[in-house]
Amino acid sequence: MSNSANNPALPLAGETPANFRRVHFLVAATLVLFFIAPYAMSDSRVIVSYCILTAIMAIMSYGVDMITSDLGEVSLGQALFMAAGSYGVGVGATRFGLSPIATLFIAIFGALVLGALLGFITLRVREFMFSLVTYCAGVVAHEVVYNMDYLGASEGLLGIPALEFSLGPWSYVADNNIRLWPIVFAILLLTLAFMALFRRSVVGSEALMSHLNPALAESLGVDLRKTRLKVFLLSAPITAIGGWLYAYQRNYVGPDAFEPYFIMLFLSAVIIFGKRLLLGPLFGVALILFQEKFLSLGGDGNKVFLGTLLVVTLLVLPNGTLSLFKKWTGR
Amino acid sequence: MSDHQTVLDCRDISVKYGASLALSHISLQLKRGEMIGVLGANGAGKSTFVNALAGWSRGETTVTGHVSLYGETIDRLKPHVRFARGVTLVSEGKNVFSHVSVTDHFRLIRQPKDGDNRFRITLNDIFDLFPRLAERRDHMGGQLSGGERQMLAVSCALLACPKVLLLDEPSIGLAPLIITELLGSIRKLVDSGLPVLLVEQNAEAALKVVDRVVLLETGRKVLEGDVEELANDQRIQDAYLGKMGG
Amino acid sequence: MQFSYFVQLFLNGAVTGLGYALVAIGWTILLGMARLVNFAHGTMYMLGAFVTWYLMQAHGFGYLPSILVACLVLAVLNIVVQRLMVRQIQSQNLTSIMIITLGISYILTGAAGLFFGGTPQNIASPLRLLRFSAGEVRMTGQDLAIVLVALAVYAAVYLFQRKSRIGAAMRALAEDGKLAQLYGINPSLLLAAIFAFEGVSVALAAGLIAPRAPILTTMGFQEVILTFVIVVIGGIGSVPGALVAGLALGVFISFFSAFVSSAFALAAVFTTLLVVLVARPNGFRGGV
Repeated sequence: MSNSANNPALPLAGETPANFRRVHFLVAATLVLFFIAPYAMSDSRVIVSYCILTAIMAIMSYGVDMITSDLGEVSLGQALFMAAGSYGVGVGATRFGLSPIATLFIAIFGALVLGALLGFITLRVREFMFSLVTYCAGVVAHEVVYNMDYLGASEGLLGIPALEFSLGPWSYVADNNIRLWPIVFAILLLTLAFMALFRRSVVGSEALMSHLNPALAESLGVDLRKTRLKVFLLSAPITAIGGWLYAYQRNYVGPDAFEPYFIMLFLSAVIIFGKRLLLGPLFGVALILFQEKFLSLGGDGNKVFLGTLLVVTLLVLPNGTLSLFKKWTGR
Repeated sequence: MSDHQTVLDCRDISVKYGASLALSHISLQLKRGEMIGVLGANGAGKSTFVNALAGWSRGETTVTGHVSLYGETIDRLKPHVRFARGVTLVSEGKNVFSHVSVTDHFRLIRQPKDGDNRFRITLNDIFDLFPRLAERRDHMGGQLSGGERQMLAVSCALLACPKVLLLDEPSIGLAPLIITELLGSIRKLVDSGLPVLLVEQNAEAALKVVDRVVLLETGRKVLEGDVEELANDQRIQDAYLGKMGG
Repeated sequence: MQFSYFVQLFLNGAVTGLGYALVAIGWTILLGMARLVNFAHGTMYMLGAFVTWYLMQAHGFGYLPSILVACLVLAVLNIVVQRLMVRQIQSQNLTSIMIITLGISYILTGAAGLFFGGTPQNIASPLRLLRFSAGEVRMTGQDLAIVLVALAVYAAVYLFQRKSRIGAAMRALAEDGKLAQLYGINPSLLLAAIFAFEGVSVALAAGLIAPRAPILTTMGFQEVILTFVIVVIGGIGSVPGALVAGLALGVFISFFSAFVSSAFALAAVFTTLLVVLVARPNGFRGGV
């Protein structure tokens, strides 16, 4: 069975050297196990699809993670970036027959353009306005896409070809989940590396500072609004790449990309275990998708479950469930 | 209802801001018709003390000890409840609303229905006491001068027909003439029966109007006594010489 | 094109706009007085509509009693939400509040789906059957009700805010919640009242507006956007501002839908908002 739901030991930030090595070992071990899981369970299509969806959704969650855990703001427009990625593939592949690399560039470029646009517009507004504007942008984008035939309207774009790389005579076609898995996993690893680097970088520290002590940050010369813009622009491509993968995995893109489900999933995944934990969102997504796939309460029931999970976590355990675990083990 | 009945009885009041102790075991009794001056340097804990009596603070505090009003315990009550019971505080610093008019400030105050031990006062009495406020009825709090703001804050506290009035540094930023006028008016009220606890850094002005003095130093009570006895005490002299409004 | 066509468009827009204004008033008061963003507002609108529909359909309640019960239900629900978030509200943890209300909105959407089902429904309001006309220009009883109720509510709130003790208390609370306590104001009671008002006003709005179109348990998102636009353009916390902004928005959408495209009306509105935000990041009358 997949490791995620069973492994409670998550890496903690700021540990002593001995713990440090142990934490790194645990992270590596978890990732290795995660990589092997679909192969070990290749007979079960459900499990393989669970693993790959977990990875893809997790990648997208990291974009939200950056904004919510580090910057401390709530961006409700990640759906836009996901859509940029997915529709980039949809339009690029089905209407122009572009290669995956080309659609990847479109995805990233599209996300950056949207991010820059929204970012500049909200440059001078306050935090809650930022959240509201990104939220509204998502809903409006949904309306627009729903009504544009070029983008498939309500039906979406079907028949997206499988992800295929070819170099001369050699080609790799990811025409099923198992074959797509290494690509998805590789991108997941890159995302994790990116997050780790981000947290160590200047922008990362500025983001954290603006979150925890805005007055101090400003006195040290950090421009709060510009920092928000930078983080927003960094998060956009990550989520877009997730969207790009999602389109190839489903061979489909549609306006369901704008359903509140995704932002709920991303936010919950980021918050449930605790902030700024490297594997936090991955485990969060794993937990939520586990319930959805294996303990489903029906579409509406799942909504109630997910919403309740998010609300209860924030009300009862604002520091995530890991803080509860720390209390029990006395750390 | 004798003149020496204890109105406010504070025992062992201690206040912590997080882990640091700001006030340590202060006890005090305020009697009817009496005005006690709480003096001390900046940071001595005077505001902390009087805020604790009102059950109020701008930050996160932990208050221990007992406070009772005419024998009735009030220590677990929220500020607005203590207000209704008759403990009103005029806080230091910003104590009126900039975007609310003078008339609306008065509108905020609900006059109590129960009668015991309350200092009865009407809006007309207030306007007699502070005629300037009558002229400025439609002005916003932010448009008033420093002195007028203090008068407004005190008026609102009085309009609630309190059983005891707590004043935190009413003289800050005011010209000496206004201070005398303000404290003089307060004294008249005390003489009519209103017990008042006056926190002041301006020891000179305070000593002229109070009956008793309490001196605080780094969160502890170091001196207490009648103003006649203590006026010449060295520590009071230090307080009054060194602390000219700063 | 005939003059009466324009008048009709204008009238439709005004009616719709006043409806939006009625949806927005609870939200602008909440934001202006308590500085809180309630993302569940749109979902509450949906819930108000469905409770009204359900009472009429399943229990044979009359139209007006159904709306009144819906108002009560939403008032109670909103007070519960306020009580849940007491700590976050006190510490002004806006990020948490936004996510919590977003979560609550999702729970309510799911719960409504479970309880009321996923098929579109119609509220059979008797007012729709009343028809008025002046020449070529037509109006239904429903439209008239929206106009009258919206104007009445706005007038009442405006007067209340300016002349009553509670109105003064709310302004005091908005400026300095801590200081308000020293004036005998009970912040949590006042806050509960503000939340309750939001519930009542949005349920009232839903009861009046929702009969005009089929309702779905997945609706409510457009309402959030429209509300937000109205509040930003009208000025946060400004009652007259919200009324004017609502009217303007309604008329704009009416004409835009007729002459350009109805599908992209919302997008047009939103684009206009973005332009406004660039020019005035705090909305028109200055922010909180």
